[in-house]
Amino acid sequence: MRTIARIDIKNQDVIKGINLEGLRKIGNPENIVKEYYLNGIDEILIIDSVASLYGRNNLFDLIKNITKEIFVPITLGGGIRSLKDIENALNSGADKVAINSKALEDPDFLSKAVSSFGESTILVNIEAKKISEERWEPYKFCGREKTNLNLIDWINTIQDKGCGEILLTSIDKEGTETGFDIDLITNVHEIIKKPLIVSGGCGNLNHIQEVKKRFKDVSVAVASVLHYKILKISEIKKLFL
Amino acid sequence: MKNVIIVDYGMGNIKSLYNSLKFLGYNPVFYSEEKNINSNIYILPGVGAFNQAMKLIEEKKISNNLKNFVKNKNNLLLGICLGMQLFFEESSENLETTGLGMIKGKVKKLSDNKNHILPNVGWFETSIKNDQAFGYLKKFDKQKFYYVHSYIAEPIDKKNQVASSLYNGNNFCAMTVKNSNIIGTQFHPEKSSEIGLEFLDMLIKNSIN
Repeated sequence: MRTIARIDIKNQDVIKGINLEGLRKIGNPENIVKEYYLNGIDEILIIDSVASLYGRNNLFDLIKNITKEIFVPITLGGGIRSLKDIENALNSGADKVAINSKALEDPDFLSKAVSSFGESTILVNIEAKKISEERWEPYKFCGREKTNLNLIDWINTIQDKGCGEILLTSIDKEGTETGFDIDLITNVHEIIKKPLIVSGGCGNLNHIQEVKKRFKDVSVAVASVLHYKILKISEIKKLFL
Repeated sequence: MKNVIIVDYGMGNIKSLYNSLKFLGYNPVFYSEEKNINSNIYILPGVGAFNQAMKLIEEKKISNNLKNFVKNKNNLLLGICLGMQLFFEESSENLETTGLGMIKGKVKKLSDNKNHILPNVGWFETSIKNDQAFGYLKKFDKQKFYYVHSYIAEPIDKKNQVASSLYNGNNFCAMTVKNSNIIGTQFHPEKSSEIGLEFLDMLIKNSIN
């Protein structure tokens, strides 16, 4: 089980929203990433939250700078829409890319990405929203656009096309600090064949403890608890000793 | 500044390895056939598929250079992840592919059980045995290093395996050695935070001639 710091960036700032909306500025990305690294975070996930607005990821330079002194795996997401984007991300120093919207538009893109860069480089980011009892739907563009797909079908598709990891973000829980979306994770856990990272809702240690207790082999991505200094990374890591 | 050669055969993310060597105060240089670079330390990195990697290595005629390089006992060859797996005779990844054949044994899938999650990703405790040539690495016994892989090397001669870690309760080869100057890690020291950097640094320091 890994603890991954999720860092959403808008323009030059680390930001944090609620349900992927209503963004609040947190601070300077380089300083924040470095602080988490020095405190022992397992991995770092950096998402350009306005990339789809500009049609491209704007964080290659940031990745170039931070990877000169940060030596844990770094995943870059947001606006990754071509093989060239993936190449640029890796050349900047990222280890993996997170892909959402592009995969939803063209699932075969995942097969191409995996055969060009290896599956361990490709993480699929799913932003899921509850539609009705026992039914969730993956969303595009940082939770802004519906797809009318069934989440279970979508997970089967991406596992079939190829990917190295799955990041499952609950739009309903994101930024609420009310706990991970246990119903959502329960709903999909049995069909997951790839390393799963759950994101959205972490507000305290019990929330992480609950994921650990209920699900085997599931990692957590956290944001608010680190950004608002509710938890120390060392406290979280003690749970996994 | 000590030169350290990164064997760039055109695959995988070698940027992090480059950055880690630079951070440690070395001068990382990318290998290419034409250039005559002076260093007794070569690192063979690798992310991706075994057959593709071997194809590129053969195309770029790197194979013989590596084999000649390790004939000199003062030279060190470090393989990381797929780079380590390439030391072996063959791999069953995608197609049966012949490797560099420096160490006897095969590379095979970590598990065929459909309920097991692959790739195996995370920070795993690594048990390191005392090895005559690399005894100084014993200090990293029980440390956690970062792994991401679906395949593992299986040396025929157990003395070629000097470390192990666990996947679903089973041991797998985490580090392999040959003679006193070939060493491979299944984990990524360049991605294993401060402990990984220390590991790299110690290996290089002890091999500088």
